[in-house]
Amino acid sequence: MNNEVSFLLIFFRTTHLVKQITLWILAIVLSTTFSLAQNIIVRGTVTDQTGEPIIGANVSVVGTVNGMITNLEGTYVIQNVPDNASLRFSYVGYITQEVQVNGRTTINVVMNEEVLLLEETVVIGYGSVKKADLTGAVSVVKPDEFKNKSNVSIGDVLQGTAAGVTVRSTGEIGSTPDIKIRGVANLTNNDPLYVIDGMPTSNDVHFNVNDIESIQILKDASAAAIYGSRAANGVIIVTTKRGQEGKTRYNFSSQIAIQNLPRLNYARADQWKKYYDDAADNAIADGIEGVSRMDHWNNDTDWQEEFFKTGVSQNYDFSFSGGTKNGTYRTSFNYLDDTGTTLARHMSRLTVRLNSSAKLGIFNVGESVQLGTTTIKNTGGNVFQIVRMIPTIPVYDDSEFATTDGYGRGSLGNARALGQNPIANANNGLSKNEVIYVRGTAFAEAMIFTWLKYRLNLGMDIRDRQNNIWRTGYATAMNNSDGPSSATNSGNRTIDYLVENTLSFTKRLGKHNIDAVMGTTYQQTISNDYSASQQNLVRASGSFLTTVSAGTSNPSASGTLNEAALISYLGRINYDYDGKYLLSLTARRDGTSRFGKDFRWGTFPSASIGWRISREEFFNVGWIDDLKLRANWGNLGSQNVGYYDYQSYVNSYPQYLFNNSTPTQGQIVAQLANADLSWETLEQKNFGVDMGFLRNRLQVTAEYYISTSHDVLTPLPILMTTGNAGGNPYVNAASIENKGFELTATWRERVNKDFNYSVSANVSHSDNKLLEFGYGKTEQYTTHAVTRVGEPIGMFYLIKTDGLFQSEQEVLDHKNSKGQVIQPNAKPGDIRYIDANDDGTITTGDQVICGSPWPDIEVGLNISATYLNWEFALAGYGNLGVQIYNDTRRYMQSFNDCNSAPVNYDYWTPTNKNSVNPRPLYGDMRNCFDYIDRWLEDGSFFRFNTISVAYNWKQPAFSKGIVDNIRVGVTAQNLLTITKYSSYDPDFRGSLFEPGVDYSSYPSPRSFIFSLNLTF
Amino acid sequence: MKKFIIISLLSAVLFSSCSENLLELNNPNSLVSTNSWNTQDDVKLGLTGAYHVLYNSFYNSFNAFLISGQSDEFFSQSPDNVLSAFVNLVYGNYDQRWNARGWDYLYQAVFRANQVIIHAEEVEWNNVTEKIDVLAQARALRGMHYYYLTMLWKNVPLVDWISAPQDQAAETPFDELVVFIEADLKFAAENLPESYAGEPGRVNKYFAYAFLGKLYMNSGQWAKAKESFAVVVKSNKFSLVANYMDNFRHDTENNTESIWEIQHLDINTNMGGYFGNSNDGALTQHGCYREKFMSGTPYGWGDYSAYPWLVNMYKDEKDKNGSYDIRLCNNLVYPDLFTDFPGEVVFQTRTEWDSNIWKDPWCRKYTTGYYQSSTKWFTPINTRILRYGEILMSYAECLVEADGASGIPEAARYVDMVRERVNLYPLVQSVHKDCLNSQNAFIDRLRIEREKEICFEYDRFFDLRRWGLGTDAAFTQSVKDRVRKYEVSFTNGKEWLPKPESEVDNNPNLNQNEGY
Repeated sequence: MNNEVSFLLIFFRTTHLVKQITLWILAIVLSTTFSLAQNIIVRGTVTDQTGEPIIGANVSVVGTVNGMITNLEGTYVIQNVPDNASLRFSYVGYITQEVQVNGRTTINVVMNEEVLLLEETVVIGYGSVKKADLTGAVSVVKPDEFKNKSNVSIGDVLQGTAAGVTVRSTGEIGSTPDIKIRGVANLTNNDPLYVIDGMPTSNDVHFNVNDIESIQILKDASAAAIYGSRAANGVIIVTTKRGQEGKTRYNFSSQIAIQNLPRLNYARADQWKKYYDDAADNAIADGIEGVSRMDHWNNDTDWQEEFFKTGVSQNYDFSFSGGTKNGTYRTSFNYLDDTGTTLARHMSRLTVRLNSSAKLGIFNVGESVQLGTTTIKNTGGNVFQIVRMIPTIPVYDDSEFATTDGYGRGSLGNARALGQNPIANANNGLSKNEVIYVRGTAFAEAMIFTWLKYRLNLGMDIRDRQNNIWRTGYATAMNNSDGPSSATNSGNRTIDYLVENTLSFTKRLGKHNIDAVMGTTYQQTISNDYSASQQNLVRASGSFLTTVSAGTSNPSASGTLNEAALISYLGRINYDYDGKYLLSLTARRDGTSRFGKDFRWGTFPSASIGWRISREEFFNVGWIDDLKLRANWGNLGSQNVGYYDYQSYVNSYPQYLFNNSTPTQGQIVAQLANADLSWETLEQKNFGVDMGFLRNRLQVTAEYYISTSHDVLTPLPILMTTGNAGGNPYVNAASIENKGFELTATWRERVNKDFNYSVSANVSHSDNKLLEFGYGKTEQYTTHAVTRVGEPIGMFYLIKTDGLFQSEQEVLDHKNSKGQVIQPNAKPGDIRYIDANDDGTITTGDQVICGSPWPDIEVGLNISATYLNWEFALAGYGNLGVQIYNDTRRYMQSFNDCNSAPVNYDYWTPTNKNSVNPRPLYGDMRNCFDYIDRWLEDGSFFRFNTISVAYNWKQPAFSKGIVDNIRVGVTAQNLLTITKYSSYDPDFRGSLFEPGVDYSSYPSPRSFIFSLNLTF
Repeated sequence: MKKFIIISLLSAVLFSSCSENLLELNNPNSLVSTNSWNTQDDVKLGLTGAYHVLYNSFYNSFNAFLISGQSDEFFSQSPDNVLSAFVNLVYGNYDQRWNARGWDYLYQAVFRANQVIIHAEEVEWNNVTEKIDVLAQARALRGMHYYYLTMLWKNVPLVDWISAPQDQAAETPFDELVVFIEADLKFAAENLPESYAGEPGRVNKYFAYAFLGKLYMNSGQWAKAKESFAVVVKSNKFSLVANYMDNFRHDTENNTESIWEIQHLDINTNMGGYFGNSNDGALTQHGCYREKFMSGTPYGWGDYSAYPWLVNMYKDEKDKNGSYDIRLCNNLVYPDLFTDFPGEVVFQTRTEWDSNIWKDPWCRKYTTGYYQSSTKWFTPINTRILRYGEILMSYAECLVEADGASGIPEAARYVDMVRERVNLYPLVQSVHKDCLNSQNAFIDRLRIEREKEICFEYDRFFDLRRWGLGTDAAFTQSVKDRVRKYEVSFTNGKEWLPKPESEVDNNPNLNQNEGY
C-alpha cells in the first residue's frame, strides 16, 4: 500500500471526522462564559520562611498577562486586578502559590521552599505521577544540573547525573556519547529509547538541549513497560519547555567554549632515533631476518601539535515565551558553531522550536515542533594516525618519497612508518554531512468528563541527510599507492510517523485513587537511501572539481527503500489507597513488520507495588520524614534487527566475464538468514526504597535489580564453513543477566537567606553475566577478550607476563612441569610469559582471563551552592576498579615496526636491568604481541567535569527595569581527571565484545566556557 | 446512557483502528530466497553467481599468498609485522587474515556451488542436457574449491547441502574428501564439453581431467594421475605458445597453452565491489590484485621478497645462444638482472638495480610492467589456473613415479618440449644429461625443471609436501638448508596450514591440525 494512503487511512479510521465535529459542537455548548468584575490595585511583600524578602519573585494575575516581579525589598504593586481574581506567586526553588484576592488590596505572602522532592511530578509515559506515588525506578534530571556545561546532545547532559546511567564520552564532533542504562542486556544495541515530547526517537545531535524542561530516565521494567517494545534498554523521556501563563519573558544566552584536547608526551626525534637504533641493533644481534638500522632523516615533527588545534565552540540561544489561561507559547532559536579540536572538523547547527498550546472549553490542542539543520564537516585524519606517525617524517616533503601532493610519508630506508600522514589526510578531501530535520508532535485532547480524557497524538520526525564526500585518492602512507580521485553523493530521508489514541481515566472514590490509561499506537518508518559516485574528477587549474558530475569514470549508483511498521495496544492502571498502598499494572502488545508473520506479536506485562510506610499511623520516627518501599516485576521487548532480516535475499549483483569482455549478470544467495526471528525479551525485577530524613533535607533512594534478557537478537558470528557472506545473520540467541544496585543521596540545605547548598552523590554497580550464547556456542573470542557463558561479557583474555629475563640462566630456568625450556629463543631483557597450558611453548593457547573491563563502582557527584548573588557548582563522575587495554601504548612501546614512542622511555639494557619495559626489538613480536597483559592498565578515574562560578544580577539598576536578571558565568569542563591511565582518556566508547579496549579513541576536550544569560 | 455511548464510541475507535495488514511489508529492494529458484533460468543465473566467486580474494590473490607465499619461494620483510610473521611461518594467530579469509572465501564459493547443484534438482528443465551441463559446471567448480581447501588445510569439514546458520559441519578425513572431490570432477569430466564457443571463462572437460590429475598426484595415486593427465596431454587440443611470457600477459589470454583461466579485466576500479556480497550498488570487481603485494616498491608494497636461490637455480645452464634462461628474466627482478639481460627494462623506466629500494629479488611474474610504468590496485591479466606447460611437467612426474625408470624417455620428451620453448637444449644434449640415467636423478632434475617453468604459480606448497616436506627427513632438511624461514620456523605438521583459530574454537566437530 502507498505510504501516504496508509497513513491517512489510519488517521481517519482513528479520528473519524464526524465524531470530531460532534465533539467540537459539544465543546462549544459546554464551554463556560466569563463574568465581569471590578478592578482594584493590590500590593504586598513576598518573604521566605525566615522573613527575608524574596527578590524577583513572579507575581501574576491568574489567567492574564498582567503581572510583575518583586523588587529589592520584596514588594510588588499590581494594578487592574479583578477583585475576584487569584494571584500566582512563583519563584525558582519555592512552591508556587495561588491566593484568592477576595477584594483585599494588600496581600503578603510567605513562600515555602520546594524541598519536598517527593512532591515533584514525574513524567512516566502516557501520563505522569507524583514522585511520592511512584513504584518504578525513575531518575529525573533538570537543567540546573547541566546548565553550566557545554552540551551538544542529550547524552552530554546525562554524564554523572543519574545512578545506573553509564555515559561513555567521545570528543569527536558530531558523535554522541554512548549511553547504557543498567548494564548490557543485549549484544547489538544498548541505546535506550528516547521519547521527546511523546515522539519516540534516538539519540543524536539534532536537538537543542537548551529546550529541555526535564529528563526522566525510566530504568526498570514497570516504569518502561508502557513503551513495551524498544524499552528493554530503558527509556529516556525528554519534555521540552513550554510557555507559562503571564507576561512575555525573553531569554538570551550565549556560551563561548575554548577547547583543547589532552596531550600525550611523545618522544622527540633524538630520543626516538635512539630507541629505534637500539631496537635494530638488538634485532641484528639476534639474527632476525632483513633488519638494518634506518638511515634517519633529520626532521623533528610533533604530529600531535600539527594535528590538534584549539577549538572554539559558540552557542547562542534566544527564546520568548508566555501565555494566558487559554494558551501558551514558547519559541526558541539556537545557533551552535564548533570548530572542533583537530584539523578540518567543523559543526554548525541551527534550530528553531515552536511549542504552543491552546484551550477551548473541554479541548486542549498544541504542538511541539523543532526545525533545524546541522552541518558536520570532516576531512579525515584521526588520533590513531598520530600514534602511528614518527617524528623523522616531515609534514611536507619535496623528495622523491613524498606523496603525490607533497606530504611526507616516510621511506623504507629512512623512516619506515606505516601510518598515514594525518595532515595529508586532512587536506585530501572532505566529507560534508548536512541534515535538515522537522521533528515534533501535535496533540488534541478532549476532557470528555472530568474523569475521562481522550488524547490524539500525532508525530512526525523527518530527517533528510545529504552527504557529499570527495577524495583526491592520493596515498598518504608509505605502503599505499594512489587510487583514483572520487566523489560520492549519498543521502537518506527517513520519516517516522506516529499516531496514538489514548483514553485516560482518573477517579477518586473516598481513599481509593485510580488512574488508568489505555490506547493504541501506530508507528511507521519510511527510509529512502541513494548514493551516486564517480571517479577521476576533472581539474580546473590544478584543483579538483568535487561534485559527482565532475567525475569521468566508474559511475555507480544505488537507491533503496526500507519500511517498517509497529502496531501496539497499551494499558496501565495505577491504584492507590490513601497514598499508602500503591499498585500499578501495565501491559503492552506489539506487532512489528520486522519479523515474519508467525513471529511478529509480543506481549509485555508488568506489575508493581509500593508501600509508603511513613503514612501509616503506627509509623512515628521523628527524624524520618518519608519512607517508601517498592517492588516490581516486568517484561520488556526489543526488536533490534534490520528491516527485512528474517528473509535471506538474493544478491543480484554477481557477474562473470565468460567471454573476457562483457560481464554476464547472475544472482545467488550470499547471506544466510533465520526465518524464525522474533521478539527479544527482558525480564526485570526491581526493589527500591525512598527515604527522606531530617526535615527532608536528606533524600536517599536505593534500588536493587535483577534483569535477564532472553532470545537476544544478535548477529552472532557463525562458522565460515556455512559459506555465509556479507554479515552474520541475526538470531534469537543469547541470554544475559544483569544485577546491580544504585544509591542516590542528596543533601539540600538553606542555611540562611544568603547561603544555600546541595550535595548529591550517586553510586552504582552492575554485574553482567552471559547465560547463553546461541547455536550451542559457549564462548566468543576476539583478539583481546573472551565472552564465555557464565561470565561477564568481554573479559580480558591475554597471556600473562612475569617480568623480564635478567640472564641467560633465567631463560634456561623457565621450564614447564616436564622440564622443557619454555622460551628457548629468549634473551635477557625479553618478557617472561606464563605457560598457562603447560605445553612448553608460548602460544595463543596460553591466554587466560586476566582482568575485567567492568568497573566495580560508578560514581557521580554534584555540588552546588548559592551565596548572595554567587553560584558555585562542581560536578564529577568516575569509574573505580576497572581495567583498560591501552592499544595506544602498545603501538608506542612495541618497536617491532615504526610508530611514535613515549618520551624518556625507560627500557631494559644490560646496564639498566631494573626497567620494567623489555628491550626494544625491531622486526620481532616476542615482546609486543597484542594479546599479552603488558598492555593492561588500571582504568579507574574520577573526573571533575564541571567547575563553575556564576554571578547573578537580579533586576540590575542600570537596566532601568528592563532586565530581570543577568547571569554571567565561567566553567572549566573536564579540567581535572584523576587517573593512572596512561593514554589520552580513560572515558571512551568501547565495542560490545571488547568494551575495555581503547583503540586510540578520540578524547574529550578540556574547555573553558564563558556564559552570559539575560532574562527580560 | 450518554456516557456509555461516548465511551463505547471511543473504545471502538481505539481498538478497531489498526489492521495487521499494515505489518506486511516486503523487501522492495531485492528478491528473497523464498521467491526465487523457481525456474531453470533462476538456476542458470545462480550458476553465474557461482562463477562470480572467482573474483573473490582467494582466487585473485590469496591463492598466491598461501600456496606460493608459504612455500620456499618467498619470505617477507614487510614493515607490517603481522603479515611478515605469517609469511615467515611464525603462526602467532591462526586467524591471520589470509589464512582465515582464504578459508572463508573458499567456503563461500562452496555454498554458492551447492545452491546451484541442489536447486538444479528441484526445478523443471526444458531438456535434461541443459540440466546436466549446469550441474557439471557447478560440480567442477565445487571440486576445485574443495581441492584447494583439502590441499591447504587437510581434514576440512565437508558441506554438500544448502547451509543454515547453525550448521557445525564435521571434520572429514583427507581420504574421504579426496573421494568426494573425485566424484565431482569425474561427473564434470564425463559431462562437460571440450569447450564453450566464445566463452573461454567456463570450465571444460580438460579442466576436470587436469584437476583430477592434480588431486590424484597430491594424494599418492600416481597411476590414476597419469591417466587423467594423459587425457589432457593426448587430446591434441593444446600446445605450448612460442613465447613463454605470453602466458602472463593480458593481451595473449586464452591462447593455445591455456586449459582454463580466471577471466580478469580492470574495467572497474572500485575497491569495495569485488566481494559482491551485498546489494549496495557496488560494482563487481573483475581484476586481480596479487601484484600489489608481490611487486617491489614502488610498483607494489614489497611485502614479498623472493629467495635468491631461485635466481641461482636458473643459472645452472645457459641456452643455445649462451644466454641465461629467458624465464629468469620473465619471473624475477634481481640485482644482476640488468647485466645478465642487457637492455632489459623494468616497468618501462628502470634500467638498473636500485639498491635504495630493493634489497632482495622480487617476483616479476604476473606484474604489469610490460605495458605500464606504475601499478593500479587491479590488473587485467587472466590467472592461468591450468596451463599446458604445467600439465606436461606434472604428467612427466607421474610417468616416472608410476612406471619407474621405464617412464623416463616419455617424461623427458615432455620436459624437453618445455625446455626447447625457451631455447634450452634437450636434456640429452644438456649439461644435465646424466639425469636420464636413474629414476632418482631424473626426479631430482624434474623438480628443478618444474620450478623453473611454474615458479610463483599455484602449486609450490603442494609440490614440497608431495616431495616429502614434513614426512621425509632428508628432503625436509634440504628445504631448510635452502631457506632460512624453514630452518628457523618449520616443524613437522606445518606442511599443512593451521585451520583458522575461530573455526576450531567455535566448532566442536573440528580439530586443529597436528603440529599446531
